[in-house]
Parts: sequence; C-alpha cells; structure tokens
Amino acid sequence: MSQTLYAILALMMMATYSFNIAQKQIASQQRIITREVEEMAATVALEKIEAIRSRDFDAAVSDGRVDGDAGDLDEFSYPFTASGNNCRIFGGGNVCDDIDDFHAQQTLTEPFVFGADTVYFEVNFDVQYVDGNPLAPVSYRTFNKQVTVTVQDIWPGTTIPSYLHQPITLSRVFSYTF
Amino acid sequence: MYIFFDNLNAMIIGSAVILMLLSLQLRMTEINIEETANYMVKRQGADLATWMEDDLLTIGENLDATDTWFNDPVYALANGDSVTTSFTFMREQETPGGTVPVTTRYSLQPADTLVVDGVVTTAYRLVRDTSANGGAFVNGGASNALMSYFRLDLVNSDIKLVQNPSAVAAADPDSIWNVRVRFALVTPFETDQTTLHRVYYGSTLMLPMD
Repeated sequence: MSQTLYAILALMMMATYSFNIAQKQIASQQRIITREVEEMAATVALEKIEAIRSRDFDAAVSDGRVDGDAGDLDEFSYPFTASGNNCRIFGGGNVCDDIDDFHAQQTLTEPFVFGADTVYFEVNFDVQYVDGNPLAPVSYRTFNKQVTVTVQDIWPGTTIPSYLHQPITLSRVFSYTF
Repeated sequence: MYIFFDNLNAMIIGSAVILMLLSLQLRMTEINIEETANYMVKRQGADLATWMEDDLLTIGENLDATDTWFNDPVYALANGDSVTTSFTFMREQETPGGTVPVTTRYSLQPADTLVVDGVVTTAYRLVRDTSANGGAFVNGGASNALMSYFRLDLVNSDIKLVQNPSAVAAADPDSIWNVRVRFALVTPFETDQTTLHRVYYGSTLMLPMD
C-alpha cells in the first residue's frame, strides 16, 4: 500500500514539474518573439520619423511666408487642422509637405515583409508644439514640434493577440532654425 | 530475486519517473541553449549595427554636394532574397595635415553553410575594407559569419528605393536622403524546439546634410 502511495506522490511531483517546464518554454518562446517584434516595430517607427523629418517645418515655410526671423512664429499653423490626412508618402492622396500635416494621420497598416513571412503593424502619428525645459507639449506656437509615432503589431485574419503589451513609441523634436 | 518481484510496482513506476526526469532535463537544456544562442546572436547583431551606424553616418563627410559620395549598391540573389553584396562610400577624414580621402567598402562574402529550419542556408560575413588616399584596400573589420540576409538601400525623402542612386545624386544631390539597412543573423546551432531561426535588425539613417 505504501509503495502505491509513494508512486502516486512521485507521479504527481513529476506532473507538476513537467507543467512548470512547459510554462517556462512557452514564456521563453513568447519573450523571444516579442523581442523580435519590438525590433521590427522600432524599425518601422524610425523609418516613419525619418520620412517626416525630410518635410518642411511648417506650411508657412513651404508657402514662402517666412522671413527667417523670430516673427515667423506668428505664421506657423495652430491649431493643427490636418487631422485625418492620408499622406501620399504612406500611399494616400494628401500631399503632406510639412511636419504637422502628419498630425492624427489615418492609422496606417504597415506590412513588414521579412523573408517568407509578413508582420503587420498599425502606425499612429501625433504632432504637438513643445516648450520648456524639459520640453513638454504646450497649447501655443513654438519653434519646436514633437512628432510621436506609435507602432503596434496586429495579426489580420487571425485571433492572435498583439505580442507587444504596449505599443512602441518613438518621439523626435524638430526645431525651426533661422 | 524475490526482492525484485516484491517491489515490482515501485521498480516500474520508479523507472518511469526517472525517464520522465531525464526527458524534462533534456527539454530544459534545449530551452536554455536556445535562449543563450538567441541572446548571443542578438547581442552580436546589436554590436554590428552600432558600428555600422557610426560608419554610415560619415558618408560624404567633408565632401561637397557635387562630389561622389557613394557608388551604387550591388545586388544579387542569396538564400532566395535579393541582398546587397557590395557597397562603397567616400568621405574625407580630418587629420592634422589636412583632409585625407577615405573610401570604405562593404562586401558580403560566403563563409559557411548551415541548416536553418530544415533549409540549407548560406551564412555570410560582412567584410569592411578601407582605402586612404587612393591606396590599396586594407581590412577594417568584419561581422560574424552568421549573416543570412543583408540589404542596404539608398532611399529618397519618402523612404522609397532609388534606382542607380549615384547617377541620381549626381544630377540632384537632394534626391537621396537616407540609407536603409536591414540584416538578419542565424543562430549557429538549433535544437528541435527552436522558435526563432533568425534575429533581425533594421535602421534608417539620414545622410549628413549641409
């Protein structure tokens, strides 16, 4: 009788141990995949920031309404009215030739082709004036605009949840020089 | 002998437990091997990316916009993908005696053959050579020999690939804005449980502007 009890006890311990190992393996796999998805999302975010970086600081610059002095501040766009744009550089129809044209751009679904696989990301944009030390968003015109790109992985056509518990967020401040 | 038969029940279950234990230990070892191999390759990839970024950010340094900053990247098929096999760029390095023209060349060289996810894959080494003052190229570093994919593109301000970028840049220097680099490294060995067969790195770097 005692032999049987000991045997059952041993099997229960092994089952528990086995379950723990399986959990560890799943956690390890999720950690590895998440790290790769993070890397890809950061790549997507950086690429978008670089695309926006090449635009004019403001429509006033594109339109030639600036003189290259401090008085240019009054010419800058505020509040930003270009929300909902679908910018041409991301496949849409709007020109978006200055930084704040990207503010609240339509959510972009970005395929990231990697070999035989494709990972999709949702990309959102936010542009705000920033001021102070440290720089913080403000509700008036300044010579600094902060662009924030938020990237989240999605898996269209599946029930797979996002690997990124929080979206990757990349911010850059672009300054007007005169 | 009767001791054996008296404890037959314990013997059978004990053997099963020991076999399960060995199996689980093997699984644990595989998980640890995968994590370690993955981490090491990721670490090496990050180091490679860091020096490559430092290098590429000097493209055209101290050169005029009308000078040649780079030659067209050379592409070829490797492991089923179009990869960059060679890229050369120029800069002028400041020295106490004045500036010295320096040419840097990246070349992708086959180094090994590995089986990755059941597929025979050529592993490459990215070799960096430099030439100062028009002299012979000398080796200036290399990546590990685990690169399965390397792509370096010159792109415009919309991050779109520019064909024949050196000719385009000669006609209009502002037509090339960024260098886009993407590469993948394979792990040197795999287990049956391996989840991820390649680690990835990518960046988009702005060319220095006046």
